[in-house]
Amino acid sequence: MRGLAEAIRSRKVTSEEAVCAVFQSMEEREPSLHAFLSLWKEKTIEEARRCDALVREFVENGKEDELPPLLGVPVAVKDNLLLEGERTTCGSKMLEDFVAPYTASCVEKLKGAGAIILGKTNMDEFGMGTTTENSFFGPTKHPSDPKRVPGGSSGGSAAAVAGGMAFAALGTDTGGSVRQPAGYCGIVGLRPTYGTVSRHGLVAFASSMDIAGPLCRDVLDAALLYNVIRGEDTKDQTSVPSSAVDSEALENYTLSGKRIGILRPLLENENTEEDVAQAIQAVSALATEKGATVEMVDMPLLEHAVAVYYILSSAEASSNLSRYDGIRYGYRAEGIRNLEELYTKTRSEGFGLEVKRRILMGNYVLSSEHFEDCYRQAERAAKALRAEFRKLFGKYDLLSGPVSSTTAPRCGEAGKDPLSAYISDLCTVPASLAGIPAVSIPCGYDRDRLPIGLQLMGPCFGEQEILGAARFLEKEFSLRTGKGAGSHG
Amino acid sequence: MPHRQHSAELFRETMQKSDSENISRLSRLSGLSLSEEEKEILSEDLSRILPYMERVSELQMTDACPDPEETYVSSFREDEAYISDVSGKIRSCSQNMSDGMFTVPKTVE
Amino acid sequence: MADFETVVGLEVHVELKTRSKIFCSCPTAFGADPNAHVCEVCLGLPGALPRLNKRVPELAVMTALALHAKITPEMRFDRKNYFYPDLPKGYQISQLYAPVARNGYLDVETGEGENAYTRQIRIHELHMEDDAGKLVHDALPDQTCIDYSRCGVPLIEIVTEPDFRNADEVVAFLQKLRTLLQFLDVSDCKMQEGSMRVDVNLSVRPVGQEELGTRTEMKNLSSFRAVSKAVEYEARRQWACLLNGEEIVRETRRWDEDQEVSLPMRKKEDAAEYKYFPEPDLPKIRFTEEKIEEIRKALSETPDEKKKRYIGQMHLPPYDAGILTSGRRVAALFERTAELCGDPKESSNWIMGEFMKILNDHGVGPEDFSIREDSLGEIIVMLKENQVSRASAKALLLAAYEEGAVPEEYAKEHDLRLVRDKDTLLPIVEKVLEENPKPLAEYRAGKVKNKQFLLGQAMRSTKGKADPAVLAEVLQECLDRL
Repeated sequence: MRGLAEAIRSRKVTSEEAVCAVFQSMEEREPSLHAFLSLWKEKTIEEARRCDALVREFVENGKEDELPPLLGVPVAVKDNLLLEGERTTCGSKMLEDFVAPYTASCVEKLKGAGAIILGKTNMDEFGMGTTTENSFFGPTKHPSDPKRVPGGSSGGSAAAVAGGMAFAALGTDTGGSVRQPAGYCGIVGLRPTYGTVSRHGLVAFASSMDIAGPLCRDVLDAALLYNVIRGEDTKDQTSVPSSAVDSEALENYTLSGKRIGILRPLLENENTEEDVAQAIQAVSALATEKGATVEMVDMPLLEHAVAVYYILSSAEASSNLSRYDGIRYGYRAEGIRNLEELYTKTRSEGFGLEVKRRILMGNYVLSSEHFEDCYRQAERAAKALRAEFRKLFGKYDLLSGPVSSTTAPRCGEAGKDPLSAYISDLCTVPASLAGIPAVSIPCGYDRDRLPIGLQLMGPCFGEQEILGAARFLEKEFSLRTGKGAGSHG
Repeated sequence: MPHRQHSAELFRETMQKSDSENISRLSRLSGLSLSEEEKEILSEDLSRILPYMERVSELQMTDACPDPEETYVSSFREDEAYISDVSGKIRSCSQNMSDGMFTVPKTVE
Repeated sequence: MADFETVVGLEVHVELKTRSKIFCSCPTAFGADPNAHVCEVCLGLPGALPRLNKRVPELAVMTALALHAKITPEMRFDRKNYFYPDLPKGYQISQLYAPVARNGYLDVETGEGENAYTRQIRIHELHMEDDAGKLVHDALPDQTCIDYSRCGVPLIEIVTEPDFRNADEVVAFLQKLRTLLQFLDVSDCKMQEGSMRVDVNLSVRPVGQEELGTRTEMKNLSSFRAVSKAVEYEARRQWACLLNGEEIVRETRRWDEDQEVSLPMRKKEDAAEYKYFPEPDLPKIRFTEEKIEEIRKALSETPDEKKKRYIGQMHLPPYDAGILTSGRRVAALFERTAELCGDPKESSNWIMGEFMKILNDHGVGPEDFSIREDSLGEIIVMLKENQVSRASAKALLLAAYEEGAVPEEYAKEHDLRLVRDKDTLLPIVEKVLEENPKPLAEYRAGKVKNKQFLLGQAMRSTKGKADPAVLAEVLQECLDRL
């Protein structure tokens, strides 16, 4: 993405050429991948031409330096981020025909940086899912293996980037929905510190954990995209100020002298695949070789992390989704005979099964009999987890583990047992609960040539640290085998 | 905080009441009406998921320590009024309108 | 009947006088076209987030301080979840666990003469919340219409303890609360317009019993009179039920204005299950001691405080003080007038007398007037300095009210000032003496009171425009010379 941006600015390549190349990829791959829910080819080409004209104008007047950083670069945006004038479906029948009346703040920033938004990507309905199979509009496939899933809920964005159909994409991460698909698809996915990217225009799933994040081909792209979309926003009172990531400092980062803790429960659990474990061990060895101290860290609270996450996220989701009643926008059932049916029929027909499941769970934990034992306990546990992380970051610069215990599962597996699917989120939910930043980078392949993702976590506002380490490892991996530290092929 | 057995017991009691009763009540609270098939599937799912989640009730933690990262509202919005430029577009999001008002089936108060 | 005691608690909702809504910048102004004052936030569109209006917690804290309540140092919003078409998000943003303030009180004076007494009504808590939209049932035959312009207007809810024992106390409390809130410029408190809404929680119990009876909640009360009648009716209804051996059903009842009875409302199932949890879109609000002090300083004197001051420092009778503190504008006018003329009693007399008469004649309410704030004070000064007669002063006040006239200028233009120039008055007095030879002769013979008569005649000749003191002097001088 950076390369393209620079090439456009220096007129080595035109935006129109880039866009056409992307469309070429799409023609080949999109029919089978189904990464996109909305595309607007003519608009995109026109936009590209406008960008090219702007470049010419600025260059002719010697003002290249004033060109926006991502001018003319085609990027994709997950379909739960509002873009004015276009459909925003959240992968749901409920919003199938909903045309956004305004644009999300982070998407505005993307546009402000000159990027061309070429389409909206597929996702699990309202962000609920781990495979993108919960989309009302059909699943997205894994770019390397059509019998497998790309992960979720930002599966469309991950497949678009990994499949060469976009130079970068925005996804959203609540319990791991940017990091896990990035891991499955072999690209970089960043979950920023909670609040550093505005949630205005991000359709709410779990308000206290939702955040938009970049899915990119490499770490420096992710850093650049993060710098573009971050920013305190008066329209989001939970947003906070942050500092830009310094890309020069990223290049100069070294692991020598750094203390890395590998969270034992994330690595040593019954679901961890052998190849994943080996890949992480290999990274550990590499880091040690490069002068870092690597240790296994125990964190007993992690045993309850998934339960805590699902209690809090379902509770918030059940409330956030109460607005979908067909009165002011969205799907409305036909043949409604009375007010009660307006709600129950509309919502039952408009929502998929997983969404219903979460809404029921949320109502359960919030009802007065269970509020204290479920919700309040989960609140306390999350607070305790944050305190635990703070303590650990006093001792370690980075905490690590796999981004998932497995590589990309086959299609249809997750739906069989929802509880197992939830438990598979173990590696990613801790960072979500703590509000800390976490990045997933590819660190190898398994025996089936499926990508394995390494997760690096840092303290709040520690994007510089984790992206620095990620960049360092990324360079090491490509030096070693060109494929990854723990490659099997 | 005392060891919390009571919640697991309460849950078992609750589940002993007809599952169908529970799921019906829960779905009403959720603003959903489930088909018989959905009730069966979801009942089954919840019977595994809910006990898993409720294990947190057994954790012993205190409310005491303040959260140093706790944030407070830092900037308030000034009390100035203006018509949002989104308002016109919003009103065209629904097909069920009459004379500028949204419509629903007759509600008896 | 005397065996039972009535116990009442109130939940009062008050619309705040802010320009914009509590969580968005839409105008709160009344009377707009349906759905004209909406945006993505108050309409609950996907991706929209609340943005707290600065003025709302300030007004809430100010009200809480005026009600002697303890401010919660870290207050939080909570979501109250339920489905209803006037609630676009499917939840109301309210406060349950950490409201603005708790444990306040308001002293209420009721009863007449010898039976007058004060009851302290304890305030349980006070919190902020957003208003819902408005349902319109009679626009279409088979549909209900919804106008969301009101949705998001800031509300304060004041919950009392069940300290009331009769309807008079309830009404006295509401009147005092309304005056206070209008005084603080927190709210208009107009029940008919819906900017003040009252829900009555009422139960009865045998005298002497500590335990509270089962209570009912009454809504749809559109005036203080209705509240009073509803309290009396419901108390009687509950007494009658209990005497009949029936149990009171814990329910919500609607007050029917026409029949003057309370009727059970449609029961909503699971009505009590609101699934309250902390609002994740809004961080806690912290009120430091300094900030609270700032607000306390900005807090204008409450009516009670003013009344005390008028009686204590200005030596006004309690009756006068009561009237002058019945509204913010009247009190402000009084204070400015007293300040300018230095005579609180005279200021009070003018306001309660002549000024109120003018308002009455014009059909204007005691808080709805507008007049240049210095005018009355200036008029009284002119009167005291004998620059104008009392009659002219009254005319000046009328002109000040009707035309916004500035008294000094108007008096000049309309020749209302008293004549004080002796040279002007002398020929007039001499003429009067000429025209009244008999009374003059009687005076000189010893009938002293004829001087008054002659003075009166002289005054008449000047058409009341002479300064009485100067005229008397001139007359005396003339008489002395004879």
